[in-house]
Amino acid sequence: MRSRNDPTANRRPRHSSLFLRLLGSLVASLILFSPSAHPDYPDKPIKIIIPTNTGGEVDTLARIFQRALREHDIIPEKTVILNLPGAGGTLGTRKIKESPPDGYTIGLWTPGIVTSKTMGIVNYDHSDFQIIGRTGFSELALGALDSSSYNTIETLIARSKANPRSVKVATNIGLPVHFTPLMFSEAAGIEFNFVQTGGGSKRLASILGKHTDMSLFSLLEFIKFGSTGLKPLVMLSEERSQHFPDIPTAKELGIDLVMHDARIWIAPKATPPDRIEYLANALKQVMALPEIKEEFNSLGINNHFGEPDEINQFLNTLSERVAPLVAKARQR
Amino acid sequence: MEILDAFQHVLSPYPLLWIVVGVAGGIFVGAIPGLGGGMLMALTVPLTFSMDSSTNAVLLLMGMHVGSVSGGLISATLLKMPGTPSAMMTTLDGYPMAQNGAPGKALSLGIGASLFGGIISGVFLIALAPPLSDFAHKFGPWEYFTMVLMAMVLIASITQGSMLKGLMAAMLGLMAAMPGLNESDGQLRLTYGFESLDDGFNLLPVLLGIFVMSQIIKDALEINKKGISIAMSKTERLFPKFGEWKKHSLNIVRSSCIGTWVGILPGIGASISSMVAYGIAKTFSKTPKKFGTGHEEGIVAAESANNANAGGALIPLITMGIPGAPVDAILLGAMIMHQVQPGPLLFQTNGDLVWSLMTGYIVANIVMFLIMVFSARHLAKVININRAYLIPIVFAFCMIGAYGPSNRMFDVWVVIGFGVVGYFLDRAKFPLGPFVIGYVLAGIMEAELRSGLQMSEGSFAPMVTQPIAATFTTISVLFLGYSLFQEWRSRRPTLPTDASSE
Repeated sequence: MRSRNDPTANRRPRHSSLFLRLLGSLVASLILFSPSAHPDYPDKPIKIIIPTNTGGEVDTLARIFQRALREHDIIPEKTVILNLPGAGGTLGTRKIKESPPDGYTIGLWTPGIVTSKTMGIVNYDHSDFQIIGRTGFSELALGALDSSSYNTIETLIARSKANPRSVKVATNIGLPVHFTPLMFSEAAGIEFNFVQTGGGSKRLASILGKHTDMSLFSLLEFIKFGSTGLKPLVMLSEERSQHFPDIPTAKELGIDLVMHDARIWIAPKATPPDRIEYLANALKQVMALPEIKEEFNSLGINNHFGEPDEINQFLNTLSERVAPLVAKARQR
Repeated sequence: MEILDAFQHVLSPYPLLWIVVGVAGGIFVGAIPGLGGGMLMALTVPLTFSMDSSTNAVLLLMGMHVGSVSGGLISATLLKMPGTPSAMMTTLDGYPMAQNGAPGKALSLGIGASLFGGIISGVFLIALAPPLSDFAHKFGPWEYFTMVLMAMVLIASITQGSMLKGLMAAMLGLMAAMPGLNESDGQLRLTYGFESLDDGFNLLPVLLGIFVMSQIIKDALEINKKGISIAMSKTERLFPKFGEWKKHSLNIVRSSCIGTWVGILPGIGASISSMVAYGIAKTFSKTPKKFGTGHEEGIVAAESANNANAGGALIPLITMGIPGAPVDAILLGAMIMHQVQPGPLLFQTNGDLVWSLMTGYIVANIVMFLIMVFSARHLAKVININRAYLIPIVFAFCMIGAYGPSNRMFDVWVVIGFGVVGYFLDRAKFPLGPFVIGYVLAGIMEAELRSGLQMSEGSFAPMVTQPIAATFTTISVLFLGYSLFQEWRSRRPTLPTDASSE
C-alpha cells in the first residue's frame, strides 16, 4: 500500500479542478491513513538553509532541486531557500542545528561540516544532525597547469621530497579543500606550502596566473578549463576516470586516499524518522527525473543517492583522518 | 557581423522590454538605502525559470545590476545616504553640492558619469575581454596588496579637517574589520565566544549603520528644525551638455579604466573601484583641496568608476566563467539554472548569449541614462520632502536590507550599533569616510598580505622584486614622500622651529 507519506501520493495533474483535488485528498486520507505516518506533513513551507551566498555552487544545486520539486509537484508545499552565509558555513549549519526538529527546516552542506569542528570553529559535527542523504557527488583530483614544471605527479612528489615546501598549493585554509591535499602529502611523506586563496574561482585564477602550483578541483573543472592548460595530476577516485585515462589514482601510487565532493542534506538531530524518509524520497524522485539526470551530467555530478548510513560512515572516517592533522593545518 | 546581429537582437521588442524592466527595477532598489541589486536579482532568479529564453533572463538580471549601481547615486546625492555601497564616495561631493543649491547639477553629473563609465567598460568588454582577462591572472596577492596600499596612500588625504581625527577614524574602521573567522589561518579571532560574531561585521550592515543609520539619528534629532529648502530652478538643465564634459574627459576615461580593471579582479568590490578612482582623481587634480566640498571632479570620478566596475566584472564571467563580483555569482548561478554552462568555452557553446549580454550591457547603460535623466527632476524633489515622512521609510528599508542577504537579526543590530557609533563620531567631528575606507581596505589588505607572505615564506621582498607590485610600491612611496614634503614646505615659513607641533 502506498503510504500517504510517499510524495508520489500527492502528485496530481496540474490543472485539476478544486473539487477533484478535494475529493482526491479526502479519499487518499481515508484509504491511506496509517497511524505511524504524519498524514499532515508537510502542511506548511519547508525551509532549506544554505550556508553560502546566492549563486554559490551549493546554492545553485539547492535551487535546481527547488525548481524540480515545484515543477513536478513532488512536495505539495513550497520550499523556501534561506541563505545564511558566513564563517565557513558555520552560521548556517548552527542555525539548522538549532531549528525545531519538525522536518520544516533542513539544509544542504558539504563535508566541511566535519572540518569546521576539527578546526575548533564550532563544537558540533555531522553526528549532531540527522543526515537525510547525499544527492550525488563529484570526483576530485589534484591538478596543475600543463605548462608548469610539475606536469606529472611523480615529478611533483620527487621534487617535493628533495625540496620540501617547494610546491605551493592554493587552498581555503581549514576546509576540505585544505585537508584533502594535506592528507595526500602526509600519506606520500611530503610537505606542501599551503597558500590561502579562497573559493574555487579564486584558486583557479591563482593557478592560471602561476602564483601557486597546484590545487584541488572537481573533475568537471578539469574538463571545463582543459582549454586553459589545467590538467589533473592525480585522481582521488577509486578508479581512473574515463575522461583522463592516463592519469593515475592516488591508490595506484600507494597513497590511501579516496575523496569526493559531496552535497549532503541535513536536518536537526531529533527530526522524526518518517519525515526524514519522506524528504529522502522526494530528493530521490528529483534525481530520477530525466532533465535532472542531464543537468547533473553537465555539472559533473555522479547521479547516485547516498543513504544516511553510508554518509555517516564517510564523514566518520574523514573526521578520524583529519583530526591528527589539525596541528599541521593550524601551523600558520 | 555578430555584433550587429546582437545589437539588433537586444533592441528587438522583447529583449529590450526585459532590459528596461530590469534597469527600472534596479534603479528603484538602488536608490533605496539597504536594498540593492544583489537582493533584487536573487529574488528574481526563481521568477525567470518560466521565461522561455535564457538570454532574456540574463538580460533582465544584468539590467537590474546596471540600474542598481546607478540608482545608488540618487540617495547619496540628495540624502547623504548611499543607496548602494558603491555610491559611498558619491556622498562626499554629491551631497555638499546638493546642499549648496545645485541638486540638479549634482545628479546630472552623476548620471552622465555613470553613462560614460558604463559605455567605456562596455567597449572594453566587447573589444578586449580575452586579453584583459588573461592579464588579470597576473595579479596575485602581492599585486593586490600593493595596489590597495597605493589606494590607501592616495586617499589618506581625503579627510576633511583634522588629520589626526581622520587617522583615528580610519583606525577604528580597521578595528571593526578584525573580528570573525580569519581566512588566512582558519581560526576565529576576537569573537569572545559570541557566536554571531563568527563572521565579523559584514560590509552592508556596517555601511548602512555608519552612513545611513547615523544620518537617520541625526535627522530624527533635528526633526523640528526647519530644513533648508532647496529649490531647483525650472530652467536648470538636467540633460548634461556634452560640451561641458570636455573638461572632465580625462577624469572620466581614467576613472572608467580604473573601474573596469578593479571589476575584472575577482573579490574586490565596486566600492573599492570608486575609492581608487576618487583617490587618483584627487591626486591629479589641479584643485585637490576642493574635493569633499561638492566638487564636480569627485562625483564624476566616483560614479564613472562604479558603473565601469559592473562592465569590468562581466569580463571574467564571460571569458572564464569566473564571477568578478558577488552579483555576477548570481548571474552565473542563474545561467547554470537555465542550463547554460559558463566557462572558457561559453563563447563557442553559447555565442549568441555572450554577444547579447555584451551588447545588452551597453544598451542597459543607455536605458539607465534615459530613465534617470528624465526622472531626475522629480527625484530631486525628494530633498524637500519633510524628513518626518522620509525617515521612517528609510529606516524600515534599512532594517530589511540588513536582514535580507544573510537572514539574521545580528546584522540588524550591527546597523543600529554602528549607526550610534557613526552618530557620535560625526558629532565629535570625526570624519566617517576614513572610517569606512579603513574598514573596507583593512580586510582585503590583510588577507592579501598574509597570502603573499605564505607564498614567499615570510619575505616582503616580492613587494619590490615583482614588476607590477614594485610599480605600485614605488608610486605609494613617492606619493607619501611628496605629500610629506609638501606638508613640511607649507609649514616651514610659519613654524620654522617646531614643525612637529600640533
